Amino acid sequence: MDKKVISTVIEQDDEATSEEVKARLRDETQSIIDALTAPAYVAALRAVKAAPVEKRLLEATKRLTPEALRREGVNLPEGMRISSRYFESDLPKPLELGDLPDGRPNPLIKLSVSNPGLLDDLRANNPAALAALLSDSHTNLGNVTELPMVRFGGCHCGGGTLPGIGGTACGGAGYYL
Amino acid sequence: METPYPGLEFGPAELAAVMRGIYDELIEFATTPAFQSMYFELMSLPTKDRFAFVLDVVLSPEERRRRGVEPPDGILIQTSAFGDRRPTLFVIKKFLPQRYHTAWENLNITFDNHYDDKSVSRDPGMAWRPPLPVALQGAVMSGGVDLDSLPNDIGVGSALFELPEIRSVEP
Repeated sequence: MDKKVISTVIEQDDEATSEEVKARLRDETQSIIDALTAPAYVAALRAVKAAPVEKRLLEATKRLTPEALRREGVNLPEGMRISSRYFESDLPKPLELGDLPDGRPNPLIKLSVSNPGLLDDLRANNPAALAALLSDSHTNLGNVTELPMVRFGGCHCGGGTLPGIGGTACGGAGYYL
Repeated sequence: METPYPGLEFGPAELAAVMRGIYDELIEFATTPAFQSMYFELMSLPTKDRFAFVLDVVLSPEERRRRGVEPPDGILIQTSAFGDRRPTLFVIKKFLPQRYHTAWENLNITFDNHYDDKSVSRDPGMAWRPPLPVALQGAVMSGGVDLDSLPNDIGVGSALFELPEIRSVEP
């Protein structure tokens, strides 16, 4: 059993009305917004992005931690987590970026270099086209060595389990590393 | 007019107002009865079966439509992986307008498998590991294997970065 999973039960908040749940969620997310918009937090994000590529994770461990940000005066509610994060598409098939098994270059890599943002745009606006694009590719994400293909960043999550819905509010990937 | 962030064209109040609007949209969607019904259907399953449900239903526009779950324009439903390897399932997310990507890029509400907070490390070196490929993470979760048992150098883009020092392997 995964040691992180300790419960299979979630309880729906049947007592609260929909408007009460929404009001609680607004309160929880407002504390996230207050933290994310703090000038010291934005400055820390930009400092990490400005570091040499290979050093960015190291910089993040120094600047983008709850302790470091609190030292800079950012008001972070208790329980906040700040972590690297990688998003995949909203498709059932993973985004795959490695070379193809027969040695042919992966067209996704070419597209990521020649048309930055295209894959994200397709993901948002034309998922069927992206699905077709992904249908002939191969996964090898650990060995990707060029920044445009990595596309992961940081994520700030807090608020614990959101009342009435069970999720956690996050401000994500302010800047891809 | 407020003082902008150094080097940027906007300031905290403007950014906060935009974020407020986006979170309100995410909250509105997450509290619809159809979304809630799909979410509780997911969480009623054994933990090992949940990632498969995410792939088969939560990420499937057809299955969502069948359940009346229709994300508004601009709200994405995605999978993701965290460097701290918390057992996450899926996320609803919306991008901020491009103007603000020099600060933050998106806001989201994330839905995890339940976990003991103490079991997920807060060590910065653990939190900033390259995240695992999502398909791998899902397979490992479904197999009931501890995500922390996987090596750090198989994370996404791990060949690109100097990996952080981990002060403690204990959560």
